[in-house]
Amino acid sequence: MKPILTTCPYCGVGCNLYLRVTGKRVVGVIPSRFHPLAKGGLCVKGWNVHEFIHDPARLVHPLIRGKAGFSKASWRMAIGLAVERLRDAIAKYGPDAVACLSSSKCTNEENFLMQKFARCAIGTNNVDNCARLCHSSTIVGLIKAFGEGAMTNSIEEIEGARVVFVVGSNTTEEHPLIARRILTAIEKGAKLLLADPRGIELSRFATVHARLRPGTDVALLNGMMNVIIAEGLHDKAFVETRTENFEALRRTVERYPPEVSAEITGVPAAKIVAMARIFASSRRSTILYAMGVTQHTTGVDNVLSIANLAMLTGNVGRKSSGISPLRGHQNVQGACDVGALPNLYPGYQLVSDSEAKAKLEWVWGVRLPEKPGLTVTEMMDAALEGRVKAMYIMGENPVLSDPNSSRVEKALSNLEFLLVQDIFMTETAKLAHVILPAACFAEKEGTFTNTERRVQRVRKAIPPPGRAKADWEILPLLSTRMGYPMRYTSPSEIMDEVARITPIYAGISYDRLEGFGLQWPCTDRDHPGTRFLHRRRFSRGRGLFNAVDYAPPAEPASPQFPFALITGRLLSQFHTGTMTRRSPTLEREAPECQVEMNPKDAISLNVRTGQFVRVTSRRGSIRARALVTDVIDEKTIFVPFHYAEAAANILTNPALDPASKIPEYKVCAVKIERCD
Amino acid sequence: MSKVILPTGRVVELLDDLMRDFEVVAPVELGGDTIFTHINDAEEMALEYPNSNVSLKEFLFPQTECLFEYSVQKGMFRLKERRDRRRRLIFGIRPCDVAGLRYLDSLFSGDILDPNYWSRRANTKLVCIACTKPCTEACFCTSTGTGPFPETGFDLALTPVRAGFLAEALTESGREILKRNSQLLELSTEADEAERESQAALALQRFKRRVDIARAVVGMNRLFRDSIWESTSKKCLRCGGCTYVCPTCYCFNVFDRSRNSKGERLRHWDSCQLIGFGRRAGGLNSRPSQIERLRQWYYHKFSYSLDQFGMLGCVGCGRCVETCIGNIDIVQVLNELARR
Amino acid sequence: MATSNPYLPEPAVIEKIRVETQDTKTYTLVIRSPAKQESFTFQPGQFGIVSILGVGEAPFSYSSSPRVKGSFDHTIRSMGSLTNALAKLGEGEVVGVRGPYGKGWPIIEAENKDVLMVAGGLGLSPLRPVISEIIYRRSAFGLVELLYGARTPGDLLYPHERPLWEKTGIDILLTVDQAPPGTAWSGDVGLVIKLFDKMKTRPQDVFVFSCGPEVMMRAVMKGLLDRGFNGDRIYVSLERAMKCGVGKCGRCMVGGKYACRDGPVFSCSDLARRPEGLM
Repeated sequence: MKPILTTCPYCGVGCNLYLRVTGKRVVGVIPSRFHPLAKGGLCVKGWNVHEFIHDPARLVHPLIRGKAGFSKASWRMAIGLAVERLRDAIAKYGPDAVACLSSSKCTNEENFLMQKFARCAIGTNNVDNCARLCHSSTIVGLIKAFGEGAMTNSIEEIEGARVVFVVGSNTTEEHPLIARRILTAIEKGAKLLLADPRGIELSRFATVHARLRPGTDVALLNGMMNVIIAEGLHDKAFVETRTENFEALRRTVERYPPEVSAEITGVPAAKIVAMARIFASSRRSTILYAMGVTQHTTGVDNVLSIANLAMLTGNVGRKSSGISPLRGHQNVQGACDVGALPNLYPGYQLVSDSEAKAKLEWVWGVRLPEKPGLTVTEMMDAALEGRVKAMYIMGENPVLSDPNSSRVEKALSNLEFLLVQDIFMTETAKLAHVILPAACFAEKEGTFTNTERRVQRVRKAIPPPGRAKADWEILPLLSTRMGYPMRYTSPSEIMDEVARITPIYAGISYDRLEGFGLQWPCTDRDHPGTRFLHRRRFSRGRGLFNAVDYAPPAEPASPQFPFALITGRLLSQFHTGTMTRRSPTLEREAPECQVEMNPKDAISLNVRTGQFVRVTSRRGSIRARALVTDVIDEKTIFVPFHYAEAAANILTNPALDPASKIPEYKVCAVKIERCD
Repeated sequence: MSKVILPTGRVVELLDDLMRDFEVVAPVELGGDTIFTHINDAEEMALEYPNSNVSLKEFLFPQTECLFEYSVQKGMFRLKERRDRRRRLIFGIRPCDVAGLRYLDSLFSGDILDPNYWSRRANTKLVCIACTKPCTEACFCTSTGTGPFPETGFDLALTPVRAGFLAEALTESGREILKRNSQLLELSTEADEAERESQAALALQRFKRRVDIARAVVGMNRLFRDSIWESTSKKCLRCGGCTYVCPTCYCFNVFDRSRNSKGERLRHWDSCQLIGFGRRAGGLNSRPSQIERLRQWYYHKFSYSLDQFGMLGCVGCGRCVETCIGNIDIVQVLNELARR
Repeated sequence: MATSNPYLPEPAVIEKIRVETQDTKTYTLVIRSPAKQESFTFQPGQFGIVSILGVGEAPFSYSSSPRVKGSFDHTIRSMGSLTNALAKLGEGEVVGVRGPYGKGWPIIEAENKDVLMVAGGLGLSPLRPVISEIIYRRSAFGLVELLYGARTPGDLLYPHERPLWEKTGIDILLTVDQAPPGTAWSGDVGLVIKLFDKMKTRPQDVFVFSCGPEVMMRAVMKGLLDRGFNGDRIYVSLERAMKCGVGKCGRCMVGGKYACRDGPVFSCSDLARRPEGLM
């Protein structure tokens, strides 16, 4: 069999690679030489992307929970039971008592069907995906500032930048193929500015590294903008012709001279000045940011500040400038694009937009629910409080990925009915009443959309194991049985429907996706796709400056909980580890949870590397080994969230950004003690 | 070596014949890439192609393979070995990859044979096509003495000349192939053989990327603690790509996968560039930082291999340069070592 | 060995388990096939690979005397996935074995010379076969001394055998890192290298065999070289991550040599010459 070209399911870059197949097994990986992002390379996850596929623990039968645990069931039984229980919940409590959690790991087609299932078969807008937990701040912030919530330029262009400003992104570990571009840019003479509380690997190359206190990004950025305006380094022509609300911004940042900024952030004033001057010195200054910016109660404000900085210096709408929110996952961009969101239809049309609603009602042949739905974080609260009675979770593991895990477990256990669809028995699946076995990325056709808006093909290399089915096959079974018929012979057909109703995807169809896909907006069948956005005008017309003030994190350190906890990821593991912990090579790289701790703190706590510590927050406690390193500052610790046995999210604070509803994963308060 | 001409127009017919007896692996164009893969139709083969971006070792030593299946009962277990003995022919393998297989042949033999490698290798024939110019911007086989024209390790070598390919058989199998297909072949003339020589000389000239390997190797003996290892490893993003694409890298990991009492023991390509490679039970790591790990790769290829096999562990294919996501260039590093 | 598959483990029964310390046990194994057990033999210092199907494999030195036919021992401490799984098995259960692999201690060359053994913790177990051999032919060797240290008195291995060793003319000096309150310990406290000041062995005409944590072996090598011992005659047994055991998988490489094939016993001078040496 010829190797199959497909898209890597891990990070937001979406490298293409070939899967080498022998018989019914994927046995190897070959990089794609000409793929614009991979360019013949892959990170260690990509090279070992096939390792988990044939793990014998794959779910291969539908399972129904009985008194003695799970027992195998036929598809007919499982679907029948699920539909019966969902219908019960709707009859007793109304459609809004059902919530659907769609998967950023699933294809665009599958996410599209999930939101359609929620809206048309159930009758609720309670559908969300885990973009809520990582980039919802981006969507809200950039839509507010520019009118469009996505990466403005293409990843390739990073190489041509003169200044690369990386904020809250551990790029070499989270998006290695993007880090490669940064390294290339630096080799060509670009300067790297880095804002990150930790001494991450990327800092080795930084011209200036602002090691700011967690949650103080607005203060840093306002400080930089203060210097830029004070020294007249801003792009006056751009500000005048392409933006609005500059006055408000100017008045706000006036209150953040470098000394004030330094006081708040802990970054020396001289560094802030240097960063400002360097950033403003070029019209090819590009900003890359990730979870360090978005996962805060001030996540939207952080994004708005970044947008402010870019507009202030005229660094939008030009080659090698712009803003790159690095989407954590494949396929979090796509899941949002096709409307698996409680307040947005496919294509980011508002649920409250009556014209959009009417159009969809006409196309889908059903009255659509009016009220915007619950976000994933709100769904958990609602389940706990009994307002949501049933949930359908596809390809997500909220018990490990959502903040305040014990609350999530209680919430899900409180449901009258939980349906989970996944490839392995996750901690979330263990709580389900019905489990449906799904196909992984190598076992189905579909598309993913990467962080630079590139819609790429996912191709089937092998059949799913046992009786597992692709999610795009399962959803129509449920929907039709529920009374809203869905019939698609292929994912290509589903994408055609997406294209018909989604202006930004209008020109996308499978025959046009051979090669390396298309970047949206792609508005008709002849449109070649869009490399960068906002060239002559912003999607909303003029770019909007949003003056924001610094606000501290929701849970600052206190005498009782004197450490700041930062949670995050590692290179070789991915999120809740469902795939990577079953990949021997990747698991071996980081087989256990290690708590990063500063040497001075280690001394005062009498802790050495390898010894166990107990980390406790107001919500719970975990036990893990310490790693003493000066990568982390004093009175701060870092815990990766991949490990069920030391689940970082037992500790985290479900405090949300009021607009985006994203949890503040990046800072909360904990105490630490040695525990043997 | 008997020399005959295979006209370009008759390559397809030769492939047709070979496909009757062998599973033929040939270079195919897929999505713009050149990938060596099993062909079902002779016309699938790309006649003009740069070398693939991964080595051909996967046909003898797959990235993942089953060593044996097991079933465990109380007080006993049963094993079932898995062997792949299919007759294969790799058509269009380049000289650098032929050299790579010679290296792996040495490694997987010795006083203990690796049975999985050998059941494949013993049943694989190689028809090598010489390179008249560098396949990519990265390759440098003239510096490692492994190309661009093959000297040994193949069954049949094809050198592009005006009339087609000058065919030279090295082994009995190679001669067999020519004999069976004699109706496709023409006798070579003195002019053809002269052309081969001039092609060889021209090809050598076309390789602009050069490395003074001998000097680099000598330098390495002194430079174990040199700062070059730190400055180079700084850029390494621990992807393992250099080891995965390399024709001579052979490290592997073994792991078991069970369901109830049955399972498989699998082996899988491993990489000395990964953190876990040097870690043993108890947590100690014999190569704790990327400095030691990156250095190990260079020393294994350019120092230890010479001691172990009398062969360089590098065939100059340049694939590691293309795939490195930290933009590390082995040629630059070697030239720097030669210089210091 | 050339034609058979070197990766296939052979079934072996756990005949006996003896608890040595709180985390260490000695397993006496018998290959299930009587013919194979009959023909099985090894050199002191060699190692075997023990397999638990479904869990994995790991290398362990043989800790019994090769002259004892019919079975062989491994003294194993629980510290990883395989050893933890092994610790849960009982007598009569079956594991897989492969081996013997590697180069052992150069005992023949040490004949007619003094022998100094320096061991730390579990490092005594690959030396136990040497001790058996020396006891068996005591007159073939000169002064034989064992310096042995462990973390606590409870971690010192083979307490019931040590009196017999002393009786057959092996001088033993013991030390511990710490003696927890309540344990009856009247011996030395401190690192093994401190015992150099007390030992009888002189630097001339002696072979040294040392095994223990690598940091200890490094200190031992340095301490002895400083005292004028000959580096060519100081041997250590290196521990490295291993997989295949037969020099194919590359995992155990040390400065261009394979710990599984060219070692695990290496001479001090050899290691000093190699780039990676003792890490």
